[in-house]
Amino acid sequence: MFLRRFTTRLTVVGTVGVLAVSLAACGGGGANSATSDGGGQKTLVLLGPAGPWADTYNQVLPEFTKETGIKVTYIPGESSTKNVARLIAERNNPQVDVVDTNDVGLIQGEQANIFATLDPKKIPNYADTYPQFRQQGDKLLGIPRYITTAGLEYNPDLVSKAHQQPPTSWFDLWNPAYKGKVGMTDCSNVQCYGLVPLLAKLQSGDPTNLNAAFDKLKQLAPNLKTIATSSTGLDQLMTQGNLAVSTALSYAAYTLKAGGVNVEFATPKEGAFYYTGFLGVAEGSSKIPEAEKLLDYMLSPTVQAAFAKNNYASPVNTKVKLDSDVASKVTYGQEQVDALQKIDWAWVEKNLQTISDKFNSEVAQ
Amino acid sequence: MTVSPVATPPRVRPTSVGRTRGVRRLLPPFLLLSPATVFLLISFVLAMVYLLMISLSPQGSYSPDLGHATLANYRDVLADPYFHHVLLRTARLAAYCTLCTLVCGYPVAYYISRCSPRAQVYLSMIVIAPLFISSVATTFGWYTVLGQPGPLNWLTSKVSSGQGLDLVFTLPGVVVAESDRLLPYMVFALFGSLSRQDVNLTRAARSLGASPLRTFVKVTFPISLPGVFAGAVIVFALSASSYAAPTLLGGTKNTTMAMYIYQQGVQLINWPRAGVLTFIFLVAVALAVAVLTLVLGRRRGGE
Repeated sequence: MFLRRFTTRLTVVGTVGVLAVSLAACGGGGANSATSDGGGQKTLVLLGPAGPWADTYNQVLPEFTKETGIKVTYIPGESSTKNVARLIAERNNPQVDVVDTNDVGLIQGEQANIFATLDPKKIPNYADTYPQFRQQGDKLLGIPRYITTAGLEYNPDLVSKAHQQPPTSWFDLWNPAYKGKVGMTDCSNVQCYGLVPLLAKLQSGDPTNLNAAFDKLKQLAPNLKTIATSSTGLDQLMTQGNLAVSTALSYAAYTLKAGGVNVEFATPKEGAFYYTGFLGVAEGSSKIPEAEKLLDYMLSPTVQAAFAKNNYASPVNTKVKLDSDVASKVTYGQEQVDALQKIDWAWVEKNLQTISDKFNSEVAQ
Repeated sequence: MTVSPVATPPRVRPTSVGRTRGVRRLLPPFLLLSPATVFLLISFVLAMVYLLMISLSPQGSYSPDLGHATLANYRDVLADPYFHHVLLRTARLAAYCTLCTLVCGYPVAYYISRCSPRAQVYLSMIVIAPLFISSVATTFGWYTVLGQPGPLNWLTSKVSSGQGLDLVFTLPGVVVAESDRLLPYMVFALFGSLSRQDVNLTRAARSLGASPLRTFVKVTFPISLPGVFAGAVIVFALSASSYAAPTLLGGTKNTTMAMYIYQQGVQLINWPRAGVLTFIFLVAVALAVAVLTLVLGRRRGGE
């Protein structure tokens, strides 16, 4: 008798406790999706990336508040997929209005029904984006914010010490001169799961031929210094001068270089592939009109230029004007956009588990 | 089971020092006076039940779907050789860490237990000190010490004239960092047991002609076995589930269970698989601890 009453009580206490903790953990400084502050002003909660990207966000957001009166609470999250994982976990009670993610995260979120459908008419700048960067499908669930290419980064000193020319091809990763000096991430990261279909295409002509890709990747093992769990792990090794060549995202390589690390980025002659960063709005958010204003602002040429300058994020707005120095480090202009290798992200997302499992057991083992 | 907070206190007061008695006397105030503990217990249990339900749901589920409950997720994971590798590697890592902290911690605990009470306080503070620092920070510390260029690499390259050791992204590197983090737990478990030992026992052994080594092997160490056991269980369980050091110092080539669960649950958003892994891992650790208890418990009984 007592036990049952006690258990009921504990369940109540426990449930309240769990709610309290999830609120505390997710609210990010008391931000709550449902509140508007005293002046009738609404506050948007934006879950974005951490680090230098967050700095740029914090630099451009005050101007948005000044223009529209809409406040924005910025929460630095982790990776694109982790942000989506969090939105899925909170989908019954969204604590975030706008989330920063990428192609694969957008598709994962679409399947979990966490994204609200947006009205392109409310986002005038959307019409100025490169059509190839826009989301596929008839419902608009996310707007492109930037793209970044994936290619190779290298340490010029270590490359010349190995008596080699700077890398020009993806296959330079397999060069025996770099034994134990090559880095890559595992296939739960975009630089790896994006490379798999490209490699399959280069090896067999068929981007869905996983065996062709993994037969080649397996041979990379002797060259690998490590397989990092994230690109930060590679940054670390690059900074310490342990890697001669590594797969890399262009923005990350240029950010490292700007931080004083001896590193260069190379676009492989077979073509760099790219992924797109998207902004989506949480389904169930009470502030979709405000969120759409924010998305429009994020697409404006000045904001796009700021992210290009600070974070080497290639703009998706065709009307952005960049200095030649910044332009040389990002994908800029129709001609460069057309030269990019397109990855079928819907196919990647469908096969992501298989790709990651295959990588774990055949390459990382 | 039939613990009643009202009835218990008057019954249990007397002098005898039964272990169950102590627990029984402590339990009601423990439950009633410590909402934080209760809440943790419940949120842990609730979370585990939720995870169990997710692990039984079909692939691609984002919430429990018991209408389509299946054991296929369990079957797939248990049949997967990669999972076996990861589980074995995790067990190896935990065993190495346990051994390493035991070997390094025993002399320290022994020394502290023979010091004056005042010295014990200061020495204990020094032993605890590493726990004041985030494990991520200490792991990065080890990263620079064990990596290249680093002091270890420099020293070994001077001695061996070759490349020198580079333990970053190797299992030994993870063992070093993890043992460093868990050493205080082992030292305190051992200290608790060693400090309660009657010094007269060792004196008696010595006066009867036993060498110091023989005294240690035959008297001191056997009596300290409960401490060894407690320390081993804590360190084993903590190192088996560690995340920071294996991620930062091990990389995907040295994936452990915690990393694998994280990869599946957070990076790939495969919640059913992550749930399955969590549960199998929980059972595996429980089994390992049970075996440890049996082995060490029996040896203790035999002495």
